[in-house]
Amino acid sequence: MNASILRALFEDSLQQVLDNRVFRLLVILTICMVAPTFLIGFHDDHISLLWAWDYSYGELTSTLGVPIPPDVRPAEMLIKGVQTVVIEGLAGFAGIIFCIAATAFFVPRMLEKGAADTIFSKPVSRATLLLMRYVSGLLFVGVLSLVLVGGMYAGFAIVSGYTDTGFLWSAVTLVYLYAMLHAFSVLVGTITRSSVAAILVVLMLFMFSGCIHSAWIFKEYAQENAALELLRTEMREEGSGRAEGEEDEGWFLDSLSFTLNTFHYILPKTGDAKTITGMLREAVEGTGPALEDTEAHVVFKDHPGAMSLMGSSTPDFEDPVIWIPSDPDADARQKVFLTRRDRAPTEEPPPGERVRRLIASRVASAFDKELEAREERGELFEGPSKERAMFGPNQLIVVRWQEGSANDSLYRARFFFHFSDWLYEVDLTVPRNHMDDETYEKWENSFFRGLALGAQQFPGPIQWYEDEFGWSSPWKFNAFFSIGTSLAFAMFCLGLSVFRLNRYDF
Amino acid sequence: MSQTTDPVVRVRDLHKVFGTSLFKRKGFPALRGVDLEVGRGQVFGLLGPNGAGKTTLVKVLLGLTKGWTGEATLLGKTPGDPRSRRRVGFLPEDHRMPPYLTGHQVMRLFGMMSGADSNRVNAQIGPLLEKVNMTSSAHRKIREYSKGMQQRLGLAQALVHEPDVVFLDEPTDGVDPVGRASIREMVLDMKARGVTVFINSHLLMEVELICDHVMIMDKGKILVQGSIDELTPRTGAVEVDLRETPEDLEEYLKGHGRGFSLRDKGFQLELNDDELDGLIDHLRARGLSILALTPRRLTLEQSFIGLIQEDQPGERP
Repeated sequence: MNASILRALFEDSLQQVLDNRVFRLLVILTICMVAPTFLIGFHDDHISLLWAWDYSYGELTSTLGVPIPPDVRPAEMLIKGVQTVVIEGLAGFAGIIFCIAATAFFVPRMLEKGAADTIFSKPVSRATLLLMRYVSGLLFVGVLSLVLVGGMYAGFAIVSGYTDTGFLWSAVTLVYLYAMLHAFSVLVGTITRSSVAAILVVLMLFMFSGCIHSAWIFKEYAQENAALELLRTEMREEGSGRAEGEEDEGWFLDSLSFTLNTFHYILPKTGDAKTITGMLREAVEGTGPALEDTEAHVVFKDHPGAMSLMGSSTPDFEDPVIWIPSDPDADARQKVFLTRRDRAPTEEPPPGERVRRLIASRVASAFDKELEAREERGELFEGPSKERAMFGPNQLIVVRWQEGSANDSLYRARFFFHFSDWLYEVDLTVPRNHMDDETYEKWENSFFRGLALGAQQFPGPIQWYEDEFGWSSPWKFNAFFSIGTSLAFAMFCLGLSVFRLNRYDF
Repeated sequence: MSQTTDPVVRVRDLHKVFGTSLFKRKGFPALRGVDLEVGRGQVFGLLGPNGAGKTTLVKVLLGLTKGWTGEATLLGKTPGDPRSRRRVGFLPEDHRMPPYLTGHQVMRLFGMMSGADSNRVNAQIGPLLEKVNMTSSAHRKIREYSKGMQQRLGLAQALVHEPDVVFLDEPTDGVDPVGRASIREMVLDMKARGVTVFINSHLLMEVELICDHVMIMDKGKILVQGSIDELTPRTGAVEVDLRETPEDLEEYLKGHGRGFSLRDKGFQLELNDDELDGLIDHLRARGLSILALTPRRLTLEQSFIGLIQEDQPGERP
């Protein structure tokens, strides 16, 4: 095949896409989704509309009745929310269905009597012609994905100042998701020569593979949590009077498990596309947690407050975790310490009292009393104050004071919170000449906004699967295995299509 | 174009059966032992009733139909070989051009798909569209074209890469008389340039006008093939045009030939070659001026119908 033929086929594909009315409609819809990112700016403390009207997040909260948690950056939260809704919901589901419907006729139309005679009499192999129709579909979705993702990225970057390079991977995963389904559409279109059949069967596959994927996750989750074993035990107990029934039930569960496994491994894993996107985003952004307590799922998502972490990102907490200023010229006394201790009591409770685990409020109160004693001794420049706030499922207690003299004082604060089996203390030291009250408050907030308490302590099946899924996970939770088997499915469909097409008499 | 004397098309004992599968052994035989050889520069007419196997034969040669047995070559290569396909133009019956393209884009697409260089294709598009009278519609989408316009564009696309062999399946279908005349002219022009043209048509008058050789098929086999002269033999009748026709002409010609009938400007008479000289002398002796003397031949249509009726006794061709 020479360059001229290749160019002709590409031009044909492009024209086929550009002439498609559904494509034009989707381009308009895409622009409608991108436009708001240029019209609405999400900033640290306000939202700007049409670059002119500013609204505080408080106003938004009161209007919508949706509170923004104090421990998050509202701009980032809203932008990521918009990205998720648009990419995963609108584009990743409804958009893909639209695209499948819009491109399903590519192959059947080529195979229609009259059209096929002219095209297949040219010196181009049938396989090439079929694959070019497949490429047309990818081009169709590729252009739309680029406009959508690229447009949203540009909008958020220009107007909101939010750059999230990893988000650009969403375009790739949208094409990846479509590529799997379109390959099946090509197969059905080749066999039936009917666009309607191609659309319906592909939609069935989309739904079916999603159901199988979810069911498989639940099965694996249940097996992991020994729930299945429990079920078997119960069955054995219930059926102890009928040995045959016990065998029947066991056979049924094994068959069900085998069927789920078979379908799961054969079918394209469309449900993994979302998870893979998230992983790719993390890989690009390098936004894996800056610090992670792997035992309790307590993480600092990034380097907070312009501070750099010293040492391991997954510490064992034998020694305090320390952050120091990223700026080498900053005052060396500025530091953040994080310590963790077991909440289990180290001493036997007095007779008659029950065993009580450590809780943040009790430890903070004890610490507050120590500080008050020090203040009485004149060791503090300013006495302690104590505040409480809800933090995740528990309370966060902060005790603030100042040390030193009027000329050279230090802001000090200690935060107490407990989570799971652990009690955490974060100790902040900031030289007062380094920043004023307002700046300090912002710095402190920025430090804690990156802190997340793992809601995954008892994760549901989906969350559990997403935690298990990774680039280096065991093969059945491995991202490469997921991508590989999905692409193998697509290639199998295309191969079968070529096989069938080569046997057609026109 | 290469100047070898090898036939452009060579077919030997070609068989093709449709409708067979793993579970269905007996299908419908579309070709039953076809033998054919077509030389370079011929205009070859392929005739036959519906279902005779004409289109199947063309599709076998173009590699569009598979599973045939026998021997077949096109330009010395097996059917479907890209090297021969590059030198072939094809206008299928009831063809459908991509509706999302303009006429100009279709020409460019099919020209380049045939392997021709884009500059060469671009240079051909204008003159060809001019020849089929489509210049003014070149930049309209195909979906806006009438049947006749699509047919004319279809012919132009078959020629855009300057092929050595052209297969035209019902080329004048849906085309108006003026368009038909220009298509005939184009075919004759191709013949003059040494291009081999296959014409598959039901319009026998047209085939008779432009084809050198004709093959008539029925039920998958060849009934007859030969030159137009061979397929349209003389009937034995002669048409004579006279300057003046006397009233007693029939009486005067008694004893000369058989089956006398008057015509507009003369008469028709059945006689053999030996009787013809006598007739001329007899007319000249009366002082009658002979304007034309034409031996009557069977038309291609008459030959065709006769052959098909022989092959399908009791059936209408």
